[in-house]
Amino acid sequence: MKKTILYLFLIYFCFSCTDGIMDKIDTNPNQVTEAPLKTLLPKVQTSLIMNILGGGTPRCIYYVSEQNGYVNGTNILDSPKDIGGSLWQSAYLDLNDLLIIKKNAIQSEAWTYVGIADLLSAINYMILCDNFGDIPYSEAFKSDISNPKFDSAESIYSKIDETIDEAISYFAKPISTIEPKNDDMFYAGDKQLWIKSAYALKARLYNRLANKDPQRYANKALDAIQKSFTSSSEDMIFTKFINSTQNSNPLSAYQLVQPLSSMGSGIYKTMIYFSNQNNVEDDPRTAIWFTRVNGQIIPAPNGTEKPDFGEPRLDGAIYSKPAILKIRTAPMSVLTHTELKFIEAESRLRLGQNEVAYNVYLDAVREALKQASNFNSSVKLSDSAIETYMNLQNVSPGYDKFSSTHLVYQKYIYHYQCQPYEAYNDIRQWDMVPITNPKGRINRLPYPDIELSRNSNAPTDINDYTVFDNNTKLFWAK
Amino acid sequence: MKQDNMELQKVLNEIEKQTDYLFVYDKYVNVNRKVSINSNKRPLKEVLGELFEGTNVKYSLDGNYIVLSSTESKNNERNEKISLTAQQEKKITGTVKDEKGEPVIGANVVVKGTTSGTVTDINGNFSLLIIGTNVILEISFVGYVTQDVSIGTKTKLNILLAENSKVLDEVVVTSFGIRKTMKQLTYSTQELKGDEMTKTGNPNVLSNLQGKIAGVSVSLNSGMLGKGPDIKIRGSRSLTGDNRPLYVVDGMPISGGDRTADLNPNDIETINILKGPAASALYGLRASNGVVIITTKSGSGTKGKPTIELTSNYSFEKIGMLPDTQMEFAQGNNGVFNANAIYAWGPRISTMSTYINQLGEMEEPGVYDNDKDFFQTGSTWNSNLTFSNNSDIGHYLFGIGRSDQTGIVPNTSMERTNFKFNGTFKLIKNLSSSLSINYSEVNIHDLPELAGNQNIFRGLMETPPSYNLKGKPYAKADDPYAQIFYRATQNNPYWIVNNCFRKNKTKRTFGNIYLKYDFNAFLSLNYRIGIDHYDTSGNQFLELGMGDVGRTNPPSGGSYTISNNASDIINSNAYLSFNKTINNDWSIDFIVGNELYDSRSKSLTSVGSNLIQGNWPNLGNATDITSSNYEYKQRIVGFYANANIGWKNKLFLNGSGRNDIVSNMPSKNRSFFYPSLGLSGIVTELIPITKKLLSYGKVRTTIAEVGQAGSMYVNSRGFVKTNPGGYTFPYLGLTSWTQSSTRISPNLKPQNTKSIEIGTDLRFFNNRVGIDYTYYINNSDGQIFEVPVPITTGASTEISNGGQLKSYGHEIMLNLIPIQTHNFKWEFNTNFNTYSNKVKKLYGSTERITIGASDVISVVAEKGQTFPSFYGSAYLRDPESGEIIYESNPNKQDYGKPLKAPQNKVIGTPKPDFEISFINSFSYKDFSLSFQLDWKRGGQIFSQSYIEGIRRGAAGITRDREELTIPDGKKGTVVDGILQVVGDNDTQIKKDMSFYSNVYSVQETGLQDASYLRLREVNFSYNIPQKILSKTFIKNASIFVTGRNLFLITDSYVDPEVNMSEGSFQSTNSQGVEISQIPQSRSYGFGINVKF
Repeated sequence: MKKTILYLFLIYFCFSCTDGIMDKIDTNPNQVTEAPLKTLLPKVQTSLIMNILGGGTPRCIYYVSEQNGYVNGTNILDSPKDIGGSLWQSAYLDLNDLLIIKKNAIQSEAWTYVGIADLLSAINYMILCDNFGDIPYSEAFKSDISNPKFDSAESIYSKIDETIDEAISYFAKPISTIEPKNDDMFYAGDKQLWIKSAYALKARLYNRLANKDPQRYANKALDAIQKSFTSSSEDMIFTKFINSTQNSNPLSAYQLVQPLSSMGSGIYKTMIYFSNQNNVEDDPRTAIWFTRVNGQIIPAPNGTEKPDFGEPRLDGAIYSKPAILKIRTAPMSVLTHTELKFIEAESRLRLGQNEVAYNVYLDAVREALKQASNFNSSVKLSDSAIETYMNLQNVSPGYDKFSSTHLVYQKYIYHYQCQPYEAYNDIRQWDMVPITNPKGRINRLPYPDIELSRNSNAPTDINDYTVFDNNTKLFWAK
Repeated sequence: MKQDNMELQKVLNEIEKQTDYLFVYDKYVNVNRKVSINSNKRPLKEVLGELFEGTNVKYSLDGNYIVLSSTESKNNERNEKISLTAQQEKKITGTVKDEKGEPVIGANVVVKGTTSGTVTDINGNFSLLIIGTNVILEISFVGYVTQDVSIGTKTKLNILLAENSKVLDEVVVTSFGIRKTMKQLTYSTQELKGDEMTKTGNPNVLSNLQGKIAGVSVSLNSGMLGKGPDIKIRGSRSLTGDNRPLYVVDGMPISGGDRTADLNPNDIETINILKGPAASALYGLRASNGVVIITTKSGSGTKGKPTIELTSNYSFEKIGMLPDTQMEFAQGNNGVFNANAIYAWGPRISTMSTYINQLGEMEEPGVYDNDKDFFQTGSTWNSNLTFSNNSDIGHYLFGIGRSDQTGIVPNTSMERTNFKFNGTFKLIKNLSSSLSINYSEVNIHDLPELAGNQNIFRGLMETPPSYNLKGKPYAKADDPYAQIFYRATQNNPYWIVNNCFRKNKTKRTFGNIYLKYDFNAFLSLNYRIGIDHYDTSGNQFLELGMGDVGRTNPPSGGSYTISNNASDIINSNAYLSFNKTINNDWSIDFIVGNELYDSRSKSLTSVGSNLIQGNWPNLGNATDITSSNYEYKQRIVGFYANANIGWKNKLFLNGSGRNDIVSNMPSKNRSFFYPSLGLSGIVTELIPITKKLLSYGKVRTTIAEVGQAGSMYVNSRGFVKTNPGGYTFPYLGLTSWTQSSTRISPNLKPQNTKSIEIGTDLRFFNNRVGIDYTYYINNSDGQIFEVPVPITTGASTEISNGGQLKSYGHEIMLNLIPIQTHNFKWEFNTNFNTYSNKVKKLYGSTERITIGASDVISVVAEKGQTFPSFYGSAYLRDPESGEIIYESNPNKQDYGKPLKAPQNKVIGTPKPDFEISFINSFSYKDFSLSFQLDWKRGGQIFSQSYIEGIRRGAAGITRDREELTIPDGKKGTVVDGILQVVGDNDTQIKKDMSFYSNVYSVQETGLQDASYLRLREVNFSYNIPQKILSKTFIKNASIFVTGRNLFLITDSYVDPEVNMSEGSFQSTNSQGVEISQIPQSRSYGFGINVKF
């Protein structure tokens, strides 16, 4: 009896902790080892919209570009280092998933997925470079390199160009057995539209480089535009939002919770520039984009804004607030035909084709006005209101008086609808829209704490003080 | 013995030492007389004859007594007899000595069966008047065996008290429920009796530990009911992992942490805290943070007749400390009243006249203490009934406990019902068994801790004093979900408590069966198997119209959450135990065994949000529903051995080793061994020291190693579901997965803590003074945590070994009995605790890792800094003087205001310098009074309420807003990124709305000195005398009144003992953050205890 008990115990001890049993216990039931492409694509696409184009960083970029004012009672430029963290984190984690999509898609010869992964990577890298300058690229995503080095933004720009070419070549491949359907939340797997988007990105990229070699890049941009969107209906735009606290426009969703954004002085100045009587209301967009405080349109002075997040919250007690950011279903644009029109006008101007440039500019402005109510279909601008505006002296000065100021200001106003990165890029590329923040204009975002404290290769000379200095300007900036 | 010219007294003492005889004599025998004697090898009678030759003293032998009587005494005795017959009184004198012949000071000498008596003086002498001859004196003293002496006709007594080895060798419960004597232990342990736990009627076991154990830090969370505290033993060993101790009830490890709320303090016989790794070595890696060993009552103390015990106490609770808020200035901005303003920067309320409020009504200006007005009187009612018996086959106890609490926050409550059975039985020859079963049901009705504008209670401290929060309706008359509040983004606290709820119900069963088979007198096989199962079902309802998104017209938002958590633990433990004493000199005990610990838990949560209509807490009412579930599994198999060798009860050597095999480690590094070694010596036995001063002395030292495993599941990096930026899937028939951002190092090894402990236990003046001192060093290397890696590597964290945490500390327990007379006793106990906890290394080039963070503050571990630390924005300071710099350039926006440093940094730590408690107990006859004062010095609390309070002009410090002041500090400015200090600050400014809107963004501003002095508890009780009870069926009865948290002295803006413990600060390692938590309550109570 005693022996039997002892033997039973011994058997039990020996089998309770074999590697097989222990490995089985350690198998994590809360995750899965393989992910089908149709689960990863919605992630990177919605993350692009929600975290990259719509997270904390672009909300602050709105203040940096002075399209909006930060009505928290403090100057946003007191701590520029706090701006870029959410973009940095989201973009690199998305790039990691994009690499997995690409790898798996190549294995299963799902070429459209490969192309989309390439193009979205290109978009992510370009946003990172435009905001931070030099970033980890060649040594990023290598598990054996714990401190990736920072490559120059300029060298990455050429890599991005190559990546877009690669994307186009994958889109050009014949239909494969695994094609994206509704899991492609932009184009439902339409390869032609993806190719056009790729060329739109190319146009944006070349246009950004124009200060380096105006002629060459103007031609390259025009070439790309040729192969891109033919109308606004082909835009790369995200519309799958609902009027709910979930799955709604990320910039509006934040404003509805914490209404810290008011009309900025930049948007006010550029809009009033086109008025004959210094009346911002001459721009019909004013009425649909901004709220009134006691019947007045009042912009917030960037950098010295008073706190205005109390009552009335969304309309502002001191400053006008963006009506755009009240609408949860407002779409988010990634690449648009209208932007290409502006790029075309810019390129023509660079090539000295002023008259063509002027006419393209007028097309772009007219199209921008038609798009002005994209965020809210119930406030469409009438054709007559558009024409009245188009007839303003400063809007249509004639090609001889037409200057880059008209173009840049109109483009800046156009990007007010949820594209603050592009507005900020143009500010730095042209140095034309006046910045009023007493602290000045920041040339780029300081690297966030999460990278500085973890990566010994992160440059420390880009900080809250130096981002105002001339030597921290991006390679394409003025 | 050969003595010349020596006092008779000394000679008699010497004879007493050399023989078994004791002398009895009265005052008429002159013992100061000098005598010379050479007693070498002579019979005693001869020696005595020589000593008293020619005197009036005669001797006679009476058993072991030698009675000396003088003719004088006979005469006097005769006289006294005469007077006694008249007065029935006689005077007894005597001396009380111990075995070494040293006088026992303060011994109790009581006439048995009465309350009359006395205590011995510094020479051990006493005198006492007694009545009659049939008197028995009871002589007692702490640490000695109580002795009864029959007086008879004697008037002079020489009493020898024997040391009570039991007292010095107090038995404590150690690992696996094995009982050991204190003498044997080589490590520090501290025991608390169950009645200490129930003194003030706090139904939470952990709250009752506060200040009572040196080295145990109890951190309270919030005054909300059901929010139990967290405890840490000797600081932290793990950066991001669990630093909470293992809980063992009746020998079986159970789920601890928050679930200690299920335990009934009244069920507890003793709590013993095993503080260091050496003490807890046998429990293996689960015990790396110490062990709380709870032994429940089992009826073993009662004999014969069954005993029924009933205790009941009732207390009522009032709100404790509230922040100092100003009551002078109205709602508004820059001195101008505005009924819609979110600030209290308006005009003086006294200067205001009737105004139109935000509802459009005419309102008279008034001052309202909105914070204080909100809280109600809470109550606690605990009742316990136990039935116990002790028979030939064993003893057992059956108990029922019930605790009912209502909170100081309206509509919050907690109820707990406990059933327990604990018994020990000898079933057949050689086989003994015990059974412990516990069932509990806990219902907590509270509200969640939310951040930002969702926060439920921030309105209490932030509402301007001119706003009549209590007097105004909290919702519109025609729409109960449309809140009325001065601020449309936040919540009206009254609306919240009347519309929202969180209910958690936990049913729990745990227990174990223990069998012991004795092969012979020294070898036995022991087996214990236990289970612990609980199920928590939760419902949280945030009503339509809630918070920052629902305050629309019509109201929107709201959510209903259902959650279920279930946990199962199985623990099986078998060991052979060998116990033998050889030659009376060597004692050996040895155990070897195996333990299997299997833990599984599951959680399921469904959240339905964006409700269609109000007052329907149901998922059917939601337009968005998300669900998620998690499962955790872990198995630990341990093989262990332990040996204790004792020599002559003077020297003890202890060695143990355990090998754990743990599931959540990579297979090649799954098995690991760690040893411990300890040595202790009883100094007072080893070295002959006069016991007059040092009655007991022990030194001890241990060296031990213990491992700790990392997070659950380390065998692969997979894909998880994600909702990017809040975009919620499944949606449109799609879902969204991402690769887990946590990578797992393939070389993961268990974390290792090496610890050294030295200590001493000293008792002076016959145990009137006791000091127990321990010094320890813990070095935790190879910390397993989610090492933050550059996101540019494709992951945000890697589960890896990296980092070293080193701590050392001092613990002192001081026990004093300053006064002890027959009727009165004052006991004074102090527990002192101080430690240093530094991060020595982090992984690779990682400078810091985040333990808990939100928009308001980060709690981090940073290389070279104290763990944990606050990390955030700081003031720019003069590098020389360390003073704050105020902007000196009149053209700059911040002229005259403090400048902010360009880089975030470590700005403080919640770790205190020291904690000390003073526990005083007084007893006088049947009355006793005890109180406990807790003093904690140093450490900080980050108070978001303070930050919001100054920004909003609500905090008391903003009262001087109209005065021009020159803040202390330097003035200077930053030119091209370089600070230029100009000199002492001389710029006059007003600390007004603009000033505070500048400084509020500097997180350093929110740090408060968390030092405090608190009257933790007071208990006054009265034992009903036996005289009264003897005529009833009641055996014992007492009544008592209690108070808890009666005063608090602190410089902190908020109660320094509250902590945010949900959301981003859920980790128990991220202590010290306050975001509108409910303060601790103050309580007053009374109760009875009756034994039948």
